[in-house]
Amino acid sequence: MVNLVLGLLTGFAAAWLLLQGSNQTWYVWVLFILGAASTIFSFDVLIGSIKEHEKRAAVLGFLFFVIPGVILVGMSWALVFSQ
Amino acid sequence: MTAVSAVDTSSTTSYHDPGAISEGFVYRDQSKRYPWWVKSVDRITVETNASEIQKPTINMIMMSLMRRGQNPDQPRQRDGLVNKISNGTPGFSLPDVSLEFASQTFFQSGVNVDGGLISGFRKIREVISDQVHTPQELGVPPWRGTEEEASSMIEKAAVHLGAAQVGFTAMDLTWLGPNVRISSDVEKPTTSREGIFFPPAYKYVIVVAGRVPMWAAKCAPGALGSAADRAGYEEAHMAEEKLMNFIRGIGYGAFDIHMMGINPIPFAVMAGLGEMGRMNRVVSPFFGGAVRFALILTDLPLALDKPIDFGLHEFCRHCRKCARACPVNAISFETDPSWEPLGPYSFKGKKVWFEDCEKCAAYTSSAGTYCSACLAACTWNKQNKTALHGLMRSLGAKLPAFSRFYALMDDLFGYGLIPEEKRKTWWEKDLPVKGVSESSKD
Ligand code: SF4
Ligand code: SF4
Repeated sequence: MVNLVLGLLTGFAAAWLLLQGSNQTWYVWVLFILGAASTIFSFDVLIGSIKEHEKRAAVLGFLFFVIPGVILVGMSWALVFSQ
Repeated sequence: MTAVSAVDTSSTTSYHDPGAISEGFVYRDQSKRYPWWVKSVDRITVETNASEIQKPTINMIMMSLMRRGQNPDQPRQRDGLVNKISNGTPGFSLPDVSLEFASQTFFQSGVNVDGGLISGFRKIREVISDQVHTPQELGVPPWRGTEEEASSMIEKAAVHLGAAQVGFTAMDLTWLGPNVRISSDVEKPTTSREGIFFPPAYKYVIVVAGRVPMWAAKCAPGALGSAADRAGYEEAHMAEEKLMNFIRGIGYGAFDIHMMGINPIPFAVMAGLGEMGRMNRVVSPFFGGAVRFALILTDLPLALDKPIDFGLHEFCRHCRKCARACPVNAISFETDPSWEPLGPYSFKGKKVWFEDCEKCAAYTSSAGTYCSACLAACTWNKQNKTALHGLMRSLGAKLPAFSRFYALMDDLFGYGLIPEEKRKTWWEKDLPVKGVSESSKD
């Protein structure tokens, strides 16, 4: 379920970027793709580690990947808005 | 026992580079055996010196059995165990101890550990080996096929019968004691006062791997950790007993040589089930230290496997997590392995991180359980519920020089042994069947 929600959110965000027009520079896409990948990975680590009963790994692993993920996605969006 | 009159002593000495694959055998295709980050190699990653090789007069398994702490049949040891249970020693509640005994129900029933040496087998093994109908009994010819077909068939059967993995290698006397010989005077592997004798046709070794329940293992050292260790051996040996029956059922001989006192470690390394780690035990790329082995000697011609290299040798130089986990500092902290054996129970001829076996066995004796804390703490022990572990395994194998960082992250993320005060929580967890979750193999 969580994976589905994440997939939908990511798809929505990608679609939204596409809707902004084709004039985005390549690094906006690089930042967005890296950020989205890191965010999705953070949820994989969170859910997998909970299943493994590794609570500390779940929390730290999630933070380790979600924070840079959100920052990168945020930067890509900031660049879109600034144009 | 069969009387052994003449012994082929030429086979007792090393006749090739120790650690290199044996010549004159068929080897099976290794390309699909492991993921891309595990290399198949023609010699083990441990350096050896043929002129220095010293044959072990006793192995560590024998020694730990000799000094085995938890043996309630002996009054002194029973008193120690009773005291621990009565005093509420963490890790020694009555259910913890009972789980340890129950975890080895069949393993311990199948062998008789008497006075420290594995001296014989109980009735249960005879009953188990009766459960097979040989081709001779059925009046049909034995199975025939190529070595590759035989290995593929045995692998499939082994996994069906409960093995986590199998590997095939040649019988090589290099790593065995001076009392182990090849002799054409015996028809089957035989133990006598003069030693252990294998007939020349029995030149194939099947190494059977059994998984260790990870969460109980993390409660080492203590009764729960020991329950995990015992469960791992039970898994390997249950699968092995069944596999031996399968082999007999297709018309060939199969004998458990682990329980004849043969150390499985060199055979597991030669069969590519892992590399020798700092802890002086096998580390598997799939299971880390959470794996135990059983050994079958057979005359069924098999296509053999090759040793592997997944960067562990370099990884262990900087990791040291097992050494930190050892309660008695029996594991080396030196960066590099050494040619110099440590104490009377380790032997020359290989460059490894020698472990102080005396300290280890003395601890096992005083603790009242098998320890295995080093095996349970290994950085390569991971379940496989998140893709992170696969990523880290491949990074560890390809960039092993950063292992100090990986080990630090491992500690930070809370992997490794569970502190004593939290071990009771094992009984509250919702754990998978047999305590075994997926591994990178699944
Ligand atoms: S951790 Fe335990 S089993 Fe491993 S070497 Fe130390 S005492 Fe022995
Ligand atoms: S814990 Fe680290 S140093 Fe010890 S065997 Fe495992 S990988 Fe090697």
